[in-house]
Amino acid sequence: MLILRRKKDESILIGDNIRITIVECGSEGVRIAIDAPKQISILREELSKAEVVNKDALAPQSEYLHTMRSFLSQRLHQNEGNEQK
Amino acid sequence: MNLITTDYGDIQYSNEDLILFTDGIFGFPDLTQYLLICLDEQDSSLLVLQSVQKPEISFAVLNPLLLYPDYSPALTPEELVSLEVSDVGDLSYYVICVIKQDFKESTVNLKAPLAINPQTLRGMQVILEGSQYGFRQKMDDFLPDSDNSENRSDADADTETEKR
Repeated sequence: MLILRRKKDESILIGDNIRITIVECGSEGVRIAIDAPKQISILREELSKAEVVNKDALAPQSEYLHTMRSFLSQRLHQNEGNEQK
Repeated sequence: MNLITTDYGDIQYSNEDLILFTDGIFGFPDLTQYLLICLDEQDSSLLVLQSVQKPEISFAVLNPLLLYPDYSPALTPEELVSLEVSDVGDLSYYVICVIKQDFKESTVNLKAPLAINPQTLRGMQVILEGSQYGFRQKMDDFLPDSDNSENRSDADADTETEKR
């Protein structure tokens, strides 16, 4: 892995048509500007994680869902005393 | 209107029940219309977010405050503007669950909740920046095992659609 030090307003070039520029550095984070061809996908990493988690959650099996629901409601109601509506 | 779902039978709904996620949810950018289905009229602990456009697409969701009364998502000002509210407290939240066969292994995504404006029924899935919440928090971690949880919120009841 290549590790570089860059300052504000400095850039790096990746290949012929990707330029990454440091716009702002601060304790809260770094703002970067990315110039790249439209067809190149650019994602915050956590966004791609969020996609994977959503896909894992897709269409839960109904038997698991019902087991989960009764377990949840049992546990939650247990802890509420008897104030079930 | 009638929706024939893959997993939950026929659902009657009207346009006012539709929750609109203008940008979709992560991984499903083209699916913007959903219904929140109550599996059991007596019990709204676990709900289903059902796509109207694709009957096979659904997610189990729950109100995070049920498990975690202190849950306090911090949305960015831009996110609040696009949901047309001024305060995070004006929103309803649901978290998506990954349900496993062993239900104690099931996880909830507290890091990327669904935030819904209950007045307009517009929603968006957000990623909470720098939060202590995880994408896959074990559900069992939040289940109270002593009687220290009493804040059940019923604030979201009006965004639910009953299954008939």
